[in-house]
Amino acid sequence: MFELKVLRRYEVSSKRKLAIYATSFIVGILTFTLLEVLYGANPYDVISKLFIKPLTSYSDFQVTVRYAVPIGIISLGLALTYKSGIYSIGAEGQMAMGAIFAAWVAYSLSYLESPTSIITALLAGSLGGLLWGLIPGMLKGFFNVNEVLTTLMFNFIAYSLTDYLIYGPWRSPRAYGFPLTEPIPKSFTIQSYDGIPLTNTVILIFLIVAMQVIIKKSVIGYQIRAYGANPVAAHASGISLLKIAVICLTISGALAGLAGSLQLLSIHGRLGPKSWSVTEGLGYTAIVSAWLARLEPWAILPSALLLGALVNGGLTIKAVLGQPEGIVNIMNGIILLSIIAAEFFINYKLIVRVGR
Amino acid sequence: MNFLPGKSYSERECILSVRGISKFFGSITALKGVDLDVRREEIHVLLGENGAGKTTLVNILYGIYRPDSGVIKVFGRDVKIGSPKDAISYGIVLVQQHPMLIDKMTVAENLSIGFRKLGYLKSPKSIKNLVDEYSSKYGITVDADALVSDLSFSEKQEVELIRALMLDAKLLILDEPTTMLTTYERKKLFSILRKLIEEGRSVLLITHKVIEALEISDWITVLRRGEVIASRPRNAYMVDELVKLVVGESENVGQLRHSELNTASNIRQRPEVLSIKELVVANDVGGIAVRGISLNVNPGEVVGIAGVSGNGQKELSEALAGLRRVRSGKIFICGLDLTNKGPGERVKAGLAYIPEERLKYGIVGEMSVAENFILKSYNSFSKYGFIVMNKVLRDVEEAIQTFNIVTRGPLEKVKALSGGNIQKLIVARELRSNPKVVVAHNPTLGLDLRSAALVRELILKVKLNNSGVLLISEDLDEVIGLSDRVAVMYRGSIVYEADKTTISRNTLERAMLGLVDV
Repeated sequence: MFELKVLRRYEVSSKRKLAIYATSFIVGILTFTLLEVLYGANPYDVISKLFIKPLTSYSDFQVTVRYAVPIGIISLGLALTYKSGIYSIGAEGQMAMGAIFAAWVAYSLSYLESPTSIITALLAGSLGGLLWGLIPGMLKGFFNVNEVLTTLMFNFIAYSLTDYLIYGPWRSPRAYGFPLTEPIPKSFTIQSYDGIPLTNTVILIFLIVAMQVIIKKSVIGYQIRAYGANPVAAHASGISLLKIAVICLTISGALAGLAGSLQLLSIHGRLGPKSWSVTEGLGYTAIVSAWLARLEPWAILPSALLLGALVNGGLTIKAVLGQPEGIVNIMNGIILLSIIAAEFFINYKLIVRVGR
Repeated sequence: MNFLPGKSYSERECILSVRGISKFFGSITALKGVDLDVRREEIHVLLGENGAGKTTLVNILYGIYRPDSGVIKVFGRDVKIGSPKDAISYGIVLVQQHPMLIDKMTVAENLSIGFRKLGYLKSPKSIKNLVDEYSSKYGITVDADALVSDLSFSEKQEVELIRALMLDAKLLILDEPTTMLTTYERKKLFSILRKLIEEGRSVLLITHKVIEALEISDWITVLRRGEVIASRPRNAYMVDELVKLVVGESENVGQLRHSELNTASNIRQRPEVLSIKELVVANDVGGIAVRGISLNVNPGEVVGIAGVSGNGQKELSEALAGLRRVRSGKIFICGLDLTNKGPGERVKAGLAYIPEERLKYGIVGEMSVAENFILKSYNSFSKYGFIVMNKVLRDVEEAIQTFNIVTRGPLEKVKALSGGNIQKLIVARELRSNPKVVVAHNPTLGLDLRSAALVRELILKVKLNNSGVLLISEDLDEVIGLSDRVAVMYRGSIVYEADKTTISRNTLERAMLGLVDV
């Protein structure tokens, strides 16, 4: 006789929570490793390439940071949004719109000098992401349209717009037939230092501090937390869904747009098709990072770094071990599921009884 | 009352025996060396004020909390109750204070869910037979085929009772079962409980109402600040003595201390602070709940709305608070037309709302006492878009003192507070901004004597500011005691209105039952 009992836990210490989270995360990594082993990879190799090298070898760490910074910036916006109970998955499209707007400024205002040029492009990029968040925000606020659907669909519109531009009006005649745009002018390039995008990192750290203060201390952060924790009581006290939805989705959109334009100006330098895109799926990875950080801004620094390392390692595995294209997405999915499972194990405990 | 003199209590078998139970939350002592014996065929009342530790004790008996020390014996056997399932396996069943049922299913379907013991899903038909059997045996009147969403609160409670019987409960625990019941429904519940114990079960009933304890119990245990103050057969208590034991001071809080406030009358005729004209409001399923009510509340006036629950009071209060759309008619606050405006604009216009469903409409459980305290006035605590926490904490500390809110501090999560203390917090918050008009729906429901008296006094004080109060309450004594004018709501209409000078309790009661030609 085999019996499985699910019991609710009522008092959970923060130590235990942390332990459960760490365990689930490790289980997620191990599950992914198992998948790789089924593909014929050496498990030691997988873990080392996925996890250890991207954080310990300096040359790999440089690449890790390039992924971690945009993941972190986007996660900050998502954390704010998720705290309000609004579930946006549109960061990927907002990031793409940010890159398009920044590129547009770079091509049409190419006479601008640095740093005016860079600041203008970053502002334009943020505006692009903001607008891409504003529309789902208004649809949610006015008509209570499900934001998960709208934000997801807006990602595809942004992808298609990118495709239109790189195959159409912005296609470079000098790219040997590849669907790429012209490189952005030199005056718009953000310099890296020793392979590390230092400017972007500084922006991320500043934003983490700012977001921590906004969520914990500001009136709007208070309204967002109240709305997320009990929408009915918040509504009864005069906090409107319209305001919350618009503010959260525009802020997270602007941050994703900023991340997209930073990636364009400092890493990619031009727009390209899916496999060379500016976004690289980081708008989705940031969802995992935000939840891994339990929506706490300060915790996004380590969680973004960890996810950056995993993306970096995943791409290495894909290239070196000859794995299929979607392997990084699979990894993201497995880890997100593990984190969600952790939530279950925090609230419930499982008792297995064998025998009578 | 039905104390059986034939058999002495000490001879009866103890179903549940608790010795030296203590429970600490951090530095707070919730329970200290509590002893409790529940005998066979006994209705045992656990009596105490809000925050006395009653609910903590129930949670320990039901396996939700672990005690820090002490032993629990069930039928003389030492047991460890680690979860509600353990408790049920020992025959201890808690009848939930807020019934947990699926609205869109019938009673039989609800009862057929999750009974492993009876086979996984018992067929609704066999359940129906069972329900019918219980009906004739105990006087339960719930219809097995009715949708749960159509049931009244007391009927839902009966469904929970049936569930407990299906689990073969030897000891039923009821935590404040009467808070949402009318007098008639309460009497009915008590008669069902009497029948249950006659066939060998026992009942542990938790309440803060002294009268109720005397009405139903065989044995009363008084709990105060986590300690057992007295535990005797019901007949061994004098009424006055029992009140003192519960409250702990000689101060006579049972009396309404605000008689002078109550007589102070400076009602002015115009302009009305609240004016309702031909208001029509629908209920959740589209039926008409409020049928063209017109009513004015003048400055310095308390207008009471009496009525049996479910006659449109909920819809009326929600429409006034801006939580429910109005079909037709108008709502004016201080002359401003706010008929279909949102809650925010009403708050700005000077409306304070003390909702009936506190946990749902009144507070954000996951947030702290301080954060809940500023839910309607955060802007007045802000500077450059940031909340000035020092100022908030100062005001909250003051409110905690003034309103006697039992909490571990301003930063404790509100969901950890007891029901009465949550209500005190809500009242403190709603009244601090000097509202023009207060809509209070069952404001003292579930509160102990002291808290209820405090809340009533505060409601009367509103009059001194030339503000008005609309008091919607099922407690007829409260309505009569506080109101300058009383209207009776029956089936969505006001069927009777009376001035303070002409109120007769008898007439009001008849009007509440729809016998309008009084």
